[in-house]
Amino acid sequence: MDFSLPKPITAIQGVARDLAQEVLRERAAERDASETFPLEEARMLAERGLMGVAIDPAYGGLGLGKIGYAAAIREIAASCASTAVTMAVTNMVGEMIDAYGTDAQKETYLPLLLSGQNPIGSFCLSEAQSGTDAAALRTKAVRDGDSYRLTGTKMWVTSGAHCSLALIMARTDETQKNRGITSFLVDPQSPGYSVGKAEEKMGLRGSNTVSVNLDDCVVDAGRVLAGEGRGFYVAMTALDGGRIGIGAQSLGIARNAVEAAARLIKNGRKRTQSVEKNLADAATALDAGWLMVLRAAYLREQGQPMTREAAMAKVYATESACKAVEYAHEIVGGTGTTEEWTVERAMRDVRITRIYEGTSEIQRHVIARELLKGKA
Amino acid sequence: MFIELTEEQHMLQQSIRSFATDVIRPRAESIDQNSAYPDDIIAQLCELGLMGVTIPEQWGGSGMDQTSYAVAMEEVSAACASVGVTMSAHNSLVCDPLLRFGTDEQKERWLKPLAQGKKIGCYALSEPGTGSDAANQTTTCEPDGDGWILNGTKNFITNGPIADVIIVFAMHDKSLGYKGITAFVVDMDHDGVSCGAKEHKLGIKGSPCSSVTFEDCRVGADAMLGALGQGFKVAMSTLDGGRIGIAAQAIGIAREAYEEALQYSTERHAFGGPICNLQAIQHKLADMATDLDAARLLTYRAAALKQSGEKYSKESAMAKVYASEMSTRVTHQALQVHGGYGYLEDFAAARHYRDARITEIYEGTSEIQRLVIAAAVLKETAA
Repeated sequence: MDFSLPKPITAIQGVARDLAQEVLRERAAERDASETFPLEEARMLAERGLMGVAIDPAYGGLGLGKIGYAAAIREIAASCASTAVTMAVTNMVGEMIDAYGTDAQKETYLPLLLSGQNPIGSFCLSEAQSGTDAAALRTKAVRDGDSYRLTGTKMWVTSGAHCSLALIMARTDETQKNRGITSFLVDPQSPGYSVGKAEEKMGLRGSNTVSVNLDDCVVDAGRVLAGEGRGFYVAMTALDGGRIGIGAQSLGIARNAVEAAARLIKNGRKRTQSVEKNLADAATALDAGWLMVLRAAYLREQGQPMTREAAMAKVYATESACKAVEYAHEIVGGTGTTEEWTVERAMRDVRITRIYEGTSEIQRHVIARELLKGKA
Repeated sequence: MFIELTEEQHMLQQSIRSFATDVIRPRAESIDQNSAYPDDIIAQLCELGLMGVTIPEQWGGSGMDQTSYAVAMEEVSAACASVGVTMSAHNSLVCDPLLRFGTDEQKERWLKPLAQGKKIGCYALSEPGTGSDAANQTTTCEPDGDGWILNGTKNFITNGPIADVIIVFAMHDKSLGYKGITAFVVDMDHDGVSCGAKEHKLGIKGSPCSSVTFEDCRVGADAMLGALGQGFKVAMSTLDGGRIGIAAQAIGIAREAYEEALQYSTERHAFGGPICNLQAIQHKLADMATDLDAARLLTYRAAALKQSGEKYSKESAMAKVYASEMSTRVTHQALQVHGGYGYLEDFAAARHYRDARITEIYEGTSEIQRLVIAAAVLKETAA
């Protein structure tokens, strides 16, 4: 066994950490308070390759796989969770293009995410009536000559108002459930694409979350990703990989809170056994969560089956992160210090990680299904 | 980066698993019910090289790595937790410090027969009034010519009643605090060494445990393990490694409980189908399996660090506290899945529940592990 990160990955981790600590950290609280979208920050991430950590270098990515991605996003999240979720969704959309796109699609669309003025992607799967039961989505895509007409409303779309590319799942066949879904690479400037007002969220307040309204939005057939009827598969693959990223993101958020609490103790907060217990449990939860994330990422890199391990990593890391932030909160209490506000923000930021890209409940469902395979 | 077992480790796991299934597991219930130490099983562990797992072949051991040790401990403990702790105390608490601190003469005389499994070892740090506060030893060692005279009583000594060799800690100068402690290695049949009655315990009933008393026990200078006053370091560094063994034991116990619960959930019917179809049971099983994996990864990480010679004190404390508390949680839920049947001794669930509990206490309570972890985290924190 060897849990140490390979050199190229510690290098990108260092790049992410420098950006996070030297630039993102300073205005993270302000972005949260004023709900300011991190557009400049997204460009800085793109300049360093962080919008395509796992993407093929031939198309401008870093080619550092899921392990590199997990290591990088943890660092970004430790300074600004809002920037991290913007990064997460962009990487996810790019990875899907990298995995399923034609050469022409990769050449056309990946640069939008990896460089340029809006290096930001959106992923449109959930709807008002379909979250966990994603295959029940109702947004329609009707073939019309060389294009499709998309109609429907997507919910909880991260960066929906700022993206340069939206990966949208819509139904092309009413007679089928999973296999009736197709994924489209949509230009948000297309006529018929509009966004609702930004949701006011508990955390990740600097990130943008909107509904996306598709009103007879015309999308060229060349923008279908992976072929008609393959959209559900694309979405599930994206989420399988995304789970590793969200696990890493949650651990970054929590690590920042725990470090703040540890600093407070170091700087004179009374070190009682109860404080020590909270600190020890927080540190252990973070380490165990990280090992679970690393294992899932490692298995994916090896091409081994990892559905169970990815689900475990997501539910375990995010719930451990939430606990760790609570322990940190117990330590800092109402001190009126910077540390207190760091932990306060972390507490709001971390909660969503148990919900998006598959709730804890759906992860448990996936794990149990895997455990019971061939037994029941 | 390599997060899976090597081919060799995997083969070791398979061979111990099949031995455990054929030989150990069928006996586990009677070992528990009769509080019977299975000396014939221990003898077979010796033949498999499991009584000196990480000791180099030069000193009679199997020369395997620390991860292999954790793998072996998990497999043996899954079949029978009592056999597991006999193996763990012997390997981690006796062979390991002899290897690290012993002179070549001491290794020849004591380590070799221990690692070959010809002798059984035990480790005596705790006293009736001194558990977690180990620096507060009352057992004394007084200089006597070129040797030492030991006096005092140790208790909770795993393997005490069956051991041939004991590592014992004693104080030569109370005013020096923990720096006044020295370790000695002594034969159990030495004059002045005697065992108390076997303790009646909640679990791991097949593991004999007793007090050991030293009464004017005179040992030569060659019995000193490490230097004078180095005993606390010997003791603590030994427990760092021992925690990997106990974490692996806790994982073995929990895995067995979880696997039985999984199986039972497919057989027991309620509300028109097997209970494994119920979300309440599915989510329990998912949490148990996830918790097990997290504990195993923490344990493997500690083992890998020990193997590479890096610092691993914090990591082994994390593995120990997490795995032992996980074992309590998982055996608790496994019993729950069995419902009323789990409360009967007819099923193994009750035994696992009892066996798991000690792992939170011995070789450093959960509370001590948290002190170790917190101190390490604060040391790493910049002001």
